[in-house]
Amino acid sequence: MDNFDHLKQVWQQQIIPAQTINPAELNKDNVDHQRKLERTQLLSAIALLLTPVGIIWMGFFSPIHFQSTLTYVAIVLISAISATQGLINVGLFVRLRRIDISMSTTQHLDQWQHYYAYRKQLIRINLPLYYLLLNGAFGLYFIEILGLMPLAGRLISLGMYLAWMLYAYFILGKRTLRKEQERIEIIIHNLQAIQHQLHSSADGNPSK
Amino acid sequence: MPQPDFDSLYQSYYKKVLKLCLGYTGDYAQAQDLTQETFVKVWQNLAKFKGESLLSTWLYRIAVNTCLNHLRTVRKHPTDTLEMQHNEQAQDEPNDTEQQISLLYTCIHQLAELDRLIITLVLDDTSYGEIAQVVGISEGNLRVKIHRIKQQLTSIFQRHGQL
Repeated sequence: MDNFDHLKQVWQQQIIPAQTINPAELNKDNVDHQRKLERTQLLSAIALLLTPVGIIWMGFFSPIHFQSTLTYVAIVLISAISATQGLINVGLFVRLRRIDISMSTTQHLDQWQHYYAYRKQLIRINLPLYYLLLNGAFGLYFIEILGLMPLAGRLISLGMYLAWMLYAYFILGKRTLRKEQERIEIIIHNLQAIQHQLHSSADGNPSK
Repeated sequence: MPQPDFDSLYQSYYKKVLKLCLGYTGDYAQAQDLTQETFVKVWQNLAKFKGESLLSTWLYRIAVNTCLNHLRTVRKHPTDTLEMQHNEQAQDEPNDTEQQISLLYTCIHQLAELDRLIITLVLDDTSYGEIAQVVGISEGNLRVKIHRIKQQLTSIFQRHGQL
């Protein structure tokens, strides 16, 4: 027999042990991911709900007085947009809290798949809309504020604002969303693995 | 094109991917982690699979990339340690076949990274055309490579006095 054929024969004789997963460990892993997802939504909600408080104070209760009504409109809009986004985050937090680990694996998986589909749809619509509206409101705000500055100041301020917005949308935002998506996907994959093992055991075929 | 079913894909390829990762790492726990990582990626990207290659080719490519990325990012298990691990294991194994399998893994682990993956696929009877697509080289080039790897592997195995 050819030497390599002998090696091949040895290789093919090996018995790969059945895949063993530890549901308790995977569930613990899932709970960790769920808590992190919840925490992210909660912190975002708090930050977004506190932002309008500061902005409203600055616009209406601080010694700063703006000349244009448009600026006050912008302040109200910025506050309303941030608060709405904060409320959306509260909604997501509540949805996550409602996902119940004590349910059967199939039901639990189903809950996560529904949440995942809902979240993806929300991201598709909500995120661009949020940035668009927020930037529109900031645009109104800048009319008066930038008008008070010399040309160089306007350019620098606008440049810095644009750079921050682009960074927040394309880098920070995307990174956060990617991490969030990965967490949800790991949770779903873990649950599928548990379900798979349960089905295999029920079929009397544990060595899938 | 109908969406491939993850569950059946998992059932069909779990062991093959695990063997591939095992050939690559030589460490069972690590191989299991890499297999898990591979299937998470497969699951994440299944909807994007366009059917431009065989499903198995696509899956192997993910597995190969996962293994290669793993070493590039981790690099914490030097070959010597693994060899020792295998040799110790081989000494403990009472069964001759198991000893030979363990030794084979030790020998495979002495090959270059990509060569390990290629030879693992060869040992698993994957067609040359498919392997060429997985590693992204021409079939002619692959044949030459495989010929060299086979010689290298048998010679390492021989050095251990097993052939």
